[in-house]
Amino acid sequence: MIESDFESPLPHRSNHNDKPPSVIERYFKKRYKTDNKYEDQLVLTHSNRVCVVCVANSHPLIEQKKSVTSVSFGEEGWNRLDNKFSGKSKRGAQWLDCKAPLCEVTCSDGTKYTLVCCVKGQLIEVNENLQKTPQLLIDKPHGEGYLAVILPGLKWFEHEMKQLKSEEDYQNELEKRLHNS
Amino acid sequence: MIDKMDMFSLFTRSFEETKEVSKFLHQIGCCIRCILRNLGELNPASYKLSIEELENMLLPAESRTTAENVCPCPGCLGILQKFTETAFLNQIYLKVKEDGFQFSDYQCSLVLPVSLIVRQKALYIYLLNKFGETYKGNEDKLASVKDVWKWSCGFKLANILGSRFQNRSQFDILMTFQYKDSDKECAFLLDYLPDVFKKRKQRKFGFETFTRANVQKAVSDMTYSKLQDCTSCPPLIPTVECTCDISCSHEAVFIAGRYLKFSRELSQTPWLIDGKRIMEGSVQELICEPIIQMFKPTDHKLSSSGREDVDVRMLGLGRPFIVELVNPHCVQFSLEDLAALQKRINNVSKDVQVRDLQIVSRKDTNLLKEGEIDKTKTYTALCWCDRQLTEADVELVNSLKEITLQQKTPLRVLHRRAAATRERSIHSLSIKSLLPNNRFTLELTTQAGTYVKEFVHGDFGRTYPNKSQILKADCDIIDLDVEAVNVDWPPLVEPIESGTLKIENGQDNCLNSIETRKDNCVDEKETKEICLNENETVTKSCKEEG
Repeated sequence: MIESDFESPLPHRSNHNDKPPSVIERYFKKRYKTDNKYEDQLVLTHSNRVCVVCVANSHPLIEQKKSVTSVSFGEEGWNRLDNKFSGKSKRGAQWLDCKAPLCEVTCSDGTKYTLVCCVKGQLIEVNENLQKTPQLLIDKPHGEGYLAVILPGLKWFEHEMKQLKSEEDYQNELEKRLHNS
Repeated sequence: MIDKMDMFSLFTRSFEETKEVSKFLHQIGCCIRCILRNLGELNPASYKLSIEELENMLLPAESRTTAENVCPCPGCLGILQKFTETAFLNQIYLKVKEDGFQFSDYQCSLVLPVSLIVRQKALYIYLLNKFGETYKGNEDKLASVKDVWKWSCGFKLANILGSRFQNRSQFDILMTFQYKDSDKECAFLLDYLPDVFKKRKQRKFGFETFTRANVQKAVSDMTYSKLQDCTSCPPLIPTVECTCDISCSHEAVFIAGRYLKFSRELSQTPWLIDGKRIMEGSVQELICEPIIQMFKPTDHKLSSSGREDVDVRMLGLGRPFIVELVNPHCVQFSLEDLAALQKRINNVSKDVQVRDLQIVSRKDTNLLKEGEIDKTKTYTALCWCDRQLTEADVELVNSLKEITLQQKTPLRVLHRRAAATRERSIHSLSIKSLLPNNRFTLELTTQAGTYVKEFVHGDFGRTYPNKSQILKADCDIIDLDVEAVNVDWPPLVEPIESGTLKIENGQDNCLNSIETRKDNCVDEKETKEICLNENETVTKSCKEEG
């Protein structure tokens, strides 16, 4: 085998911070859907429009460190598991509104929460792991415990992003709640 | 004259009959080449004779062509008359020169008016009616207008172009003959077979009702008597002349090689969103620009054995690629020329270097695509872990072999790729070194199509198993290098001295073959000279053959 004609590899890009920026920090923008019952949700949006829907830290599920017994993606009248589509254009995927229910979470204390889509778009995937391991929702809410992936339509994308709160607005909202209580 | 007729091999059984058939064909307006081909002559050499020579042999003196009595032939629409003259061949020469192609030999393609099919059939029926015994069963044994044109003009045009005429060549001169009355002359078919032809009046066929294929089929399906009822047998003398569009093209040339990329801020293809450039330059542009300057194609396409992300370097021997050059104008280059081209590409930017640059055949390009399926790739990744790794971790990771992943389409490409869970293999995996600040380097060899970044950070658990799960701690990837794309193609090229070559002005080089010829087609006198010379050679060759 002929050796490569070129100089040995350049040194790797140096990065001396203790912790490198995370996947979310590198690729996603955080946006929030807040709610007067404080059932807040987080939407991670990639620069390619793909949205990962999660539970926000201020949601009672996380705030109160609930123990989740089940996550259900289908109830009377809707079923997010029944979602067959094909190809690059995801033809046939369910089109959901921002207020459409995504899943229902049941906790060991008997409380139930309905989590919603937050953005209008095509449902690409629900996190089926939550059915087997519902506690992921609490342990890794912004990682393996994500709820679903939604792809907003190109036309509505800007509009959908505007109806969500930025990180700054979300923090202000949390401050306000602290004052009010 | 009569003894010269022996050089032909015709359907007719006697010289008298030949005269008779010739007379009839002449009476209905046929040109001398159409007469000869409808007599059954199939020897290409016979058609090298000039119109005058042929007429002297086959027609009585009073019937011979003069400048006054020429009209377009009903058998070829003038394609074997006016369009075989030196004036027309000079038009071709001018077009070829204008387009600036470089070639050593050439081929001709003729696209003929569709109604010529009907005319040929009508002419045959006419002959069959007159000379049944002679023509019965010989319909398919007549030389076509296309072939006769090539036999008559191929060598003549070769002399004018200073090139060689071939039946198959990379360089094609396409002549498209337009005949205004073509559709009109086929119109009776619409009444006869409305189902076949009405359907064609749709947008998807470009509103083209009559095509070569459907007219050919319809005409051969119709009985002779039916055809005689529908169309004139013999065909009438055309009232309009054909026109001809000439265009030149060269078959695609493929350049293969391997590229290395040393930048983490360079994408493979131009990165545009809504027509706005996100990042300056691209591997594609850096490689292709010098190639285009040299080969002057009308279009080009880079394909490679996979691709790496913007922030991933491509090291080792590089990644195999092919540049397809569509319709290149310059093609005659030596190994030294290619070595110089490689050098030039490598001088464009330090970020991209190429090696093993070579011209490959179209057939060989399949090897790149075949390799795509079963190739493996070797990577080095600089990773980070949430906790300090121990020797035990290293041992655990290094003991893993052949890990099968279930990889959901990564979120970062989900917008443009189908959503699916794909099975991919990590063939081998080892931690090469433990670094400060919880960093380590990982070397891995994977199946083609494995997303390595996602294997390390897990992509929200969507690639499983993943590095985070194996080490039971959050992992992330900081930098990635492709060390090898394990494909044995293209062959390695031993570096050669590129020397001092004249490619610097490829344009001059490219026109060499044609520039060296005198600018003779503009000058009428010289044109005539060529014509005379041609005739001399023809007579000579005739004598030899006779």
